[in-house]
Formats: sequence, C-alpha cells, structure tokens
Amino acid sequence: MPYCPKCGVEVDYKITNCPLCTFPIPDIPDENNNIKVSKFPRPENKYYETILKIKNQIFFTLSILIFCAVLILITINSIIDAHPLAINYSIISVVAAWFYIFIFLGYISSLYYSILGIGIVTMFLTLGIDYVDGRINWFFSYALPVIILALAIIYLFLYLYNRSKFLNKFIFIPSYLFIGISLLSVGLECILDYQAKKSISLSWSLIVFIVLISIAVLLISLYYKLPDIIKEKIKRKLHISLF
Amino acid sequence: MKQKKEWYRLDNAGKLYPSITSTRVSTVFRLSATLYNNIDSKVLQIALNNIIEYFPYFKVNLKRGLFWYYFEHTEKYPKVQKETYYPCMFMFYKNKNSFPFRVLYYNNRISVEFSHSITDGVGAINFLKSLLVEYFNLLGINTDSHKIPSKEEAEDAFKKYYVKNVPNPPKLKKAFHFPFKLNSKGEYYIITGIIPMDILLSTAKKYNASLTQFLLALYFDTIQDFIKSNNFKLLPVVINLPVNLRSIYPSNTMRNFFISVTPQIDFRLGTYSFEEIVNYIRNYMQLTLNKKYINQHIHHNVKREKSIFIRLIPLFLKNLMMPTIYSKYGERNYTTGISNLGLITLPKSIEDLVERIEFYPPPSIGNIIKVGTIGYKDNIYISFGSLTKTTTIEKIFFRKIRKMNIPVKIETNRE
Ligand SMILES: [Zn+2]
Repeated sequence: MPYCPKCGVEVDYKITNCPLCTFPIPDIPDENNNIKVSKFPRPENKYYETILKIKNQIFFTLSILIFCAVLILITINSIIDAHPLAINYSIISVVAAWFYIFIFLGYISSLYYSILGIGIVTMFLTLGIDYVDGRINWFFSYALPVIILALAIIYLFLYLYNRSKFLNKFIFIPSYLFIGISLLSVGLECILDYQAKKSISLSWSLIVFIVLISIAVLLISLYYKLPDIIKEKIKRKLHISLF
Repeated sequence: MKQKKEWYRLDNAGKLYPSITSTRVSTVFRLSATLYNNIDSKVLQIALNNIIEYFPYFKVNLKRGLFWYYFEHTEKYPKVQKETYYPCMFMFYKNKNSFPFRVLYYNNRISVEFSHSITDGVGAINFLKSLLVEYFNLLGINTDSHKIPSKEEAEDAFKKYYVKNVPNPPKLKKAFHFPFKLNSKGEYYIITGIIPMDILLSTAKKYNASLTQFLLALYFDTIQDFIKSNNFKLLPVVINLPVNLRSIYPSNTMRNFFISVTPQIDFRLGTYSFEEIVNYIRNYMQLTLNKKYINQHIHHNVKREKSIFIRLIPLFLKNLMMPTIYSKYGERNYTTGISNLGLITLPKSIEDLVERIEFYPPPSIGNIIKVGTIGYKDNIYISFGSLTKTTTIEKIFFRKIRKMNIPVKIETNRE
C-alpha cells in the first residue's frame, strides 16, 4: 500500500499528496487491482448559494416596494397640488434607501468598498437634498467635508482593528472607538468653525479629545503594561522608605 | 377521533443545542457503517420505515414553546437521502416536517446524522444497529428481531439521577485555543486514522493505560508539541472528554446521558514527558469517574435548568443569550474534545457484512478541531473533525503514533 515517506502513514491508492503534510506520495501500482469505491461524494457546498437566494428574494421584494413608493409619490405629485419640494425630498430619500439596502445586503463583497459605497450614496443623497431648490447651499461647505472625515475615521478604525485582531477585544475596540470619536469631534468642530468664522479655534472638541484620548492611552498602556524604564522611574520618584 | 399528539421535553443536555445551533455550529454528529456492497436505497427506506416505529422518541419534529423547545410526534416518515454535502452539516430541524436526524447513503456506506438535541452517541449507535439489522433482514439475511423499546428509553436520565443539595463544581478558566483560520461556511473536513486494535491496546498496556487514557495522553502530548514549537502565549490545555453515564447509572435511555470531564495540563509548568501525562490522566480519571464527582456535575446542570429565572425567560431571549453564554462558559474553557464511543459489536449474523463503523464529531467554532473515536472488529477509527484547512494537529498526532511503531492508515474527505 502507498505511504507518505515523511509521516510514515499508509494512504489509499491513487492519492497524490499526503492528507497530513501534503508531501507527494510515491506512485505504487495497485497489484491486486482493487476496484476503488470512493468513500465520500464530491461534496457540494450550497451555503453561499442558499444565502444568495434568500438575499435575492429580500432585495427583489424591497425593490418592488421602493418602485411602488416612487410611483405613488409621482402620482400624488401629479394629482394633488402638494408642495413639490416635499415630494422631491421623499423620492430622493427612497431612491437612496434602495442603494443603501443594496449595500447592506452585502452585494459588494469587500467591506472597504461597501463603506466607500455608503459614503458615495450619502454624498449623492445630501447633494440631491441640497439641490432640490435648484441651488447648492451647504453641500460643499458642510456635507462633503463631514462625509469625507467620517469615511477617513472609519477606515482608520478598520485598519487598527485588523491589526489587533488577536489581541484583547475588550481593551482595543473601546480604545479605538474613543480615538475615532475624539478625532471625529475635533474634525467636526474644525469644519463648523471654519465655515462659520473662516478661522479655527477649538473649544468643546478639545475637551472631548483630551478625555477620550487619555482613556484610550491608559487602556492600551495597561494592556502592554508600562515599559520597565518608566516603571523604574516612577518607583524611584515615589518610593517610600520604611526606615 | 383524533388522537392527542405525543410530545417530549428535551432532555437536560439536549435543551441547550437548539439555541446554540448555527450554520457552522451544526451540533450534528455522524455514525456511518461501510458495507461490502452498494446500498439499495429503496430497501434502506423500507428498513427505516420499519424501525422508526420502535423509536417513537425520534419520530418527532422540533417545535417552539413559549419558554422551551419541545419535540412533537409526527405521522410523517423520514426519507433516506443520497449523500451530497460535507458530513455533519447544518440541519433545518427547526423547520416544519423535518426530523432531528437524517439517514444518508453513498455507494456502500450508510450514515446516520443526529442532532445532539435528541440523543448522544450511544443512542445513535443503537439506532444505526437496528437500521443495519432491519436492512439485512429485508435483504433476506436471518438476523435477530427487534426488541420493543420500554418507556424507560425516552426518560431524561439526568433528572432521574439528580441528587439534591450538592455544592457546585469549581469553575473552569479560559483554555488554550488553536489559532487556525476558519474555513468557508458549509465545509467540514474529516481525517480518519485507522489503527489495528491489538497493537494499539498492547502499546497502551505498556504505559499501564486504558485505550481512552492512552489516546487522551497522545492528544495532550500533541498539543504540547504544537505549543512548544510555536511559542504561543500559554493558557492551560483542557480537553473535554464526554463520559457515557449509562455505564455508571442503570439507565437505558436513548436520549442524552453524558457528562464531560475536563482533564487539564498547564504547560507553563514545564515540559511533560509522555509517562507524566499518562500518569496524570490515570489519576485524574480515578478522581473523577465516581458517582460523587459525577453527581456534582449532574446536579449543576439540572439545577440550572430548574432555576425559575431560567425557566421563565422566553424562548427567543434564550436563543439570543445562549450562544454567548455557551461560548463563555462552555467551549471557551476547553481546548478541544475527544469522545470515545468504545468498541461496537454487531450481531454475529451481520458482522461479516459490515466492513467498518466510523464516528465523526460535530463541528464547532469554539473548538475548531474535535476528535471522535470508535472501535469495530479489529480496528479503531480515530476521526478528526475540523473547521480549518490546517492539518498540523492531525499530522503531529498520527506521526506520534507511527513513531511508536503502530501502523496507521489515513483517509480524508479533504480535496
Ligand atoms: Zn505526510
């Protein structure tokens, strides 16, 4: 019977690589010419297919609902003399919802592209809402910078999260969340301040920033424990002599 | 007049499983028998129809109650299926008209896969035996007839042998886990090592160990080698070893009746020689495999179920909470599991018609590698069920056996 020269275990005829160590199995002709009955079927994995089917059903149903909603809104618009702006807002929101659903159902397989997609849809949504009255008022000054800021912080969070996957979740996820929130608040105040006064002077966000960052640093340094030099220094400065 | 439908409570251990089942954690295990000829699916179906009446507690559908799941008797019959998927796959047994077990056939092999909610390995073996006997009966081979099951066979033996007012067993702490990458959902890999029983037994005897003790020691030693060659941050290694309580209490129940004992070695204390590991395990078994120790664990399990707070939590909340609680108090505290179903004997008349019997453990995310062992005729079949493509543990384990000059044949469903 054929065997793996590295593991020393026997394997069936016609097996090309060792199941344990993938080392190539020396070819030994089957002298008895046993008819080989396969022990396992070539297994199907229907999991992703089944999930996709269910997802498609959900998406199809929701698409029809959204299509109907848009139709109804247009009909209302043409029959009743409602305020055209209100109808336009609704239509833009409903269409944006359709794109959000598309992304949330995971049709874009990469998480990074999904987040980018959410950002882009949000941009179009805000641009559309801003442009309903025919003029762009606040999109470029407020909406766009805030969206870009949020995206950047989410990507930073994901980057840090992926790097610390095998570390303690209870320490690192809160720390990164705190860092994210503090950066977000500083960025937000910068944008608001700049647009309002064309100059930046931080106030509330600095408080948030300092508090959250120090908690995050404390958590992380507790995890890594303090380096010996600093420990030694603290000991030296704060030691209490008993004699 | 319409008869009232019979219904069954889930047994104490089984209650947990429907709430923690997910696509990956199927809580389904497999027992299979390989014959010498191809399976006749029509005959197998008739055999199944004939024997299922003798197992009324398996001819059921899982239903949702307000507080617990329960099994309800069904008039329908389970259908045998041709095997097409990976072993031990997710079972839609919470759906209407689906059974908590399945009977599969492929070429010359019959497999029964049971949800752990309804029975354990011993119950599944009895079912498989009856199915084989009936199958050969229908093919015209004279075999013994079935015995009629008694009421006792559906009992919740945990409740029957529950002793009141025993203190809780000490809590376990987080154990070492294999740091391997999970595979794709819907896949489950098996590597089976086939080893001649007599050589394995005589080697175990050399170390003054029983077969289970010897295999357990080999597994500990395997994990020790793995840890020491990779310099992992160490945690104690804990192996979950289910013990069949029918050998301790006089019950013949066909539902779950086992308790897990958890031998553990902390390799932070240093390198253990194989003899030291065997020694530890032998002593550990003596300390734990007695009624007093077991009672403590039965008491703990039953008390939890009897707690009025737990009883009154609506089922949907239980379903939300259980996976977290289970991973925190269950498999988080074990490195892996090895369950030995022992030596299986078939009636003499059909023994020559069944080549082998194998046992695959249920897949689980908490313990991505688990081992199931079973002995039949001259061989012992050691099956590693794994949710990772990495085969390091299996490699170290079987190479160790080879180094003791014990022959091993390896089979797998991996590509
Ligand atoms: Zn090999």
